[in-house]
Amino acid sequence: MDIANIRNFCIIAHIDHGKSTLADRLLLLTGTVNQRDFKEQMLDTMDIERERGITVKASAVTMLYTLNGVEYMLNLIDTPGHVDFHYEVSRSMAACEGALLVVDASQGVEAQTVANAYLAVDSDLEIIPVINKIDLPAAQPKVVAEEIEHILGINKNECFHISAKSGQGILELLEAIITFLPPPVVDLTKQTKALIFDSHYDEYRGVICYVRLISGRLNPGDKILMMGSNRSYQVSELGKFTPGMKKIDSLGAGEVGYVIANIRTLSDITIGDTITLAKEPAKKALPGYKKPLQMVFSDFYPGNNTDYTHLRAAFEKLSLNDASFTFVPQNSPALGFGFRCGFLGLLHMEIIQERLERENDIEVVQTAPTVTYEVVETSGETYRIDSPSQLPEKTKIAELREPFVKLEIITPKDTIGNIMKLSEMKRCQLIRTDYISPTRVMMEFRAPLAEIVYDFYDQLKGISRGYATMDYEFIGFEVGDLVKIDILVNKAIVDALSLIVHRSIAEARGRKMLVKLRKAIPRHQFEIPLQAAIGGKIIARESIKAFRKDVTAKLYGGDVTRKMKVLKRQKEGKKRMKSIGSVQIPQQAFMSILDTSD
Amino acid sequence: MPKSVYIHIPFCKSKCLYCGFYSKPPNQYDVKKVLNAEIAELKKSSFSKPAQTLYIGGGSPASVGIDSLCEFLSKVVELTGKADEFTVEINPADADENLLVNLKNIGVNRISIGAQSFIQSELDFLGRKYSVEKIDQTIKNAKQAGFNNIGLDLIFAVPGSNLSNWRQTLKKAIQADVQHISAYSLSYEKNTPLEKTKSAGKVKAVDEELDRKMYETVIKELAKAGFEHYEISNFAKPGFKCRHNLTYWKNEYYLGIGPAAASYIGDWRIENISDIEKYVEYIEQNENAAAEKIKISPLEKASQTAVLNLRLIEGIDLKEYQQKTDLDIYKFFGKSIEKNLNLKLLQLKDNRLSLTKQAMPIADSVLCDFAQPD
Ligand SMILES: Nc1nc2c(ncn2[C@@H]2O[C@H](COP(=O)(O)OP(=O)(O)OP(=O)(O)O)[C@@H](O)[C@H]2O)c(=O)[nH]1
Ligand SMILES: [Mg+2]
Repeated sequence: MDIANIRNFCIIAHIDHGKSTLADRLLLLTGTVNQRDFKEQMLDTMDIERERGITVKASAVTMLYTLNGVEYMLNLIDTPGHVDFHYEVSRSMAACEGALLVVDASQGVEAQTVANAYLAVDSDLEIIPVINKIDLPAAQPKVVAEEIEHILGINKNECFHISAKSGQGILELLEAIITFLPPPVVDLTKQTKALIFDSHYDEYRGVICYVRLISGRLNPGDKILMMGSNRSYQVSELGKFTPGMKKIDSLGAGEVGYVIANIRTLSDITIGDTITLAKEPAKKALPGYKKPLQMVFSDFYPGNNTDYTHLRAAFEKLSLNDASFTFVPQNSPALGFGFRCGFLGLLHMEIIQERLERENDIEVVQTAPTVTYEVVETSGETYRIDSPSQLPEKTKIAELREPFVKLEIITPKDTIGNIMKLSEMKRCQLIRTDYISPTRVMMEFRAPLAEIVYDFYDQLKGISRGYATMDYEFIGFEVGDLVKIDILVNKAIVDALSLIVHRSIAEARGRKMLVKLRKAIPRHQFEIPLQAAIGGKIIARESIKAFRKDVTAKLYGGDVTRKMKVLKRQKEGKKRMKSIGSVQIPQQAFMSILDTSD
Repeated sequence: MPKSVYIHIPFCKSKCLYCGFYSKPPNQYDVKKVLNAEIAELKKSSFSKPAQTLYIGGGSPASVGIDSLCEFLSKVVELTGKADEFTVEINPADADENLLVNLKNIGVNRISIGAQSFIQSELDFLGRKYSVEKIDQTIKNAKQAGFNNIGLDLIFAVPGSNLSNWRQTLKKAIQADVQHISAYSLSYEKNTPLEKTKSAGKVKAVDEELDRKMYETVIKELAKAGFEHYEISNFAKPGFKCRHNLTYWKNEYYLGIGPAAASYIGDWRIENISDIEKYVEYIEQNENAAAEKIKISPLEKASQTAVLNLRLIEGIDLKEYQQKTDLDIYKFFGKSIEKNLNLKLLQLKDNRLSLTKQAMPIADSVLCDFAQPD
């Protein structure tokens, strides 16, 4: 295909503003998918995406459309909206020249709208602003257009008004994609360069690389070279997503498609690496991507009925499809062998945990997530730790630093008071406030990541009647007056329950942790003392009373089936627990220490 | 083939507050028709004859009237033959001299009296419609009629009661000189009026500590009085364990007849439909009255055998277990056994695995470990 007739674009937006639904419309309108095979949010193919109704992984798809007698190839990438998956969005952008910036007509510009728009500008993408859901009774397309102009500097008259649900305005938008977005820039170097912007793993065919060809051409049988890793492979198949995988004979400059080259493990390739031809390699690799930054870390241990090797196999399998989480073996004195895992955010963590259990039929016990800290020892040595248990002795620590982020909150102006209160409690510092419309503001804070990564979002939603949205971005480490709280269960320290917190709130926090733990750990056949300690000094105590009576009085012929069911449930409840000495600690207990609510 | 037969009489003149069994007032039904249906069901069921144990429970069997009950039981005996142990449950409210004499004549040789308590206020609370004197009278009548195998059911941990009340009930039960005592902690079954008033906050269950003390008291007092504690809630003078109920705890087959009755036959657990009218309809149309039929897999059998056996004070006979289930108990429950042995909740003696004394009040927390393989 003539490069002038190719358009590569992504759809970006705040979560739930209708990206995937718009992609549906485009697939139908271009006839890429016919009514019979169609289902809603059809690019969300993972079970977890369909169940939760959110996009987790970006998907690429190629569509053909004829306008005024000319056939165009449109390569679309639907991206996820959730802040955890920012990385996916920025990766997708490197394969595009344009972006459809979708804004919900009833919600307006939100935190991820802004974040993604800036990302698009930084990636030099041409932006088409799209106001979606104009069919909703609460739609205010005019107000939203004003917001877009005001905050993003995009002319309000350029906005397309559509309903991805009813199909209204989609045809005009489709034509604008062709007329308004630029074709790929022709790179005249004749050596082949292809950017790997994503990948997934197929059990039978190995690694499928999603590529955007910048220059040259790829053909089946070509010997290719990965410029970063210096490994070479032979192309066995090329194709496009339509949206299923469809084999083609050749991929040319400007096009988007997939490459299969008998690559057996995902760790053999790097997203962002450049593919070139072995016989005539490119001189310089493409700039590629920064490595994804894991924001939160948590330990995963096998539950009472799962073993370590099984868990490891499950992690390995999952990592074939998601290269953005990390896992390294970890040995806890209290919990035994497990893994320390890094995630892009809490949703990412939840999704990995769910897939791990579901796709492998195992049970994991997971510790409370924590952020990374930077330790400066008195010797001058500086290093990062991602678990409170890695903290050296107090006397060795010269400085403890914690990660800070730039936090942006968009909210109705009458909630500013509440938000200021919350942000003070969370040690956030207000940098600026901008009005994005007469009724809504954007507030920027400097915030310690540890304070906003757990339940901040829920609290924010709570105090803003659900209206506030937030986005954050890592800026660096800063010294903090931080201490470690240790928890003793039945007189023994449980390392996995330790927490690093700011000194000003440490005692109150320690007491609260015990109250939460007392509720989360079930009563046992004996009494269990709970203690919180800071630097070896006990600051709070609680105890979990033993249960004294737990027996079914009558069990005769007619009761057997029912009673067995009840007992089975009782046993299953124990499985998701971890035995520490003779105490069974359930999954929720590890998480409960982060719960700061009353 | 089952050697034990249970027959359910789904009638009761007035329902007690705590009762979760299926029963209806007899005057609202054509009792004859229902009893005939039960005879018809028994006729076409297979079991080994003569049945070793026969147990007539309810509801309150005598609530249908002495004549109807006796006529029914005579027909039953024709079908089952003379059982070694033939029990009828008696609610003191429905018992008189005549009844007991008649039962004796039919061949009944064991009477289980639902006394529940010897404290009048507790009887009233539970919705039992008789006096303490009526219990004494019923026991006397039974003895006079010639019964020498009499069981009493007792309930403890009734809201508002205390340890001395419970001791009082126990003292009277021991004085009554019966052969068997079942002592149950009051349970709050779903969909009973008692459970509803409790959820509504109108009554409060006795606290756990007292409940436990009451349980420990019955174990101690009955031991002193010469009763053997043989199942979590059951006590018997030597030679008077309830053989019928042992069928359940040994996980042997049994046949259940009547609405809502359960059977365990040839690896199937079957439960009859509970609705009385539908039951009659099914039987009259010569259909099966089962509402639920569950096939018990070998693994489930292993679990059920372990759980049920462990309710017996003698516990699991490991050799017998192996023979009956054809499975190695350690293979499926090794971790659970080890853990509970360490916690001194299980003990291993003479190739028997059983609950320890301290495990009994919290038995479910141990039994649940055997509800499915580790
Ligand atoms: N009324 C109305 N609802 C819409 C429209 N477009 C999308 N929706 C609904 O909005 C919800 C979110 O749509 P999605 O397409 O999944 O949103 P998304 O932006 O892809 O969400 P993420 O990928 O999770 O960020 C769904 O319930 C859609 O049915 C529209 O034009 N009108
Ligand atoms: Mg989506």
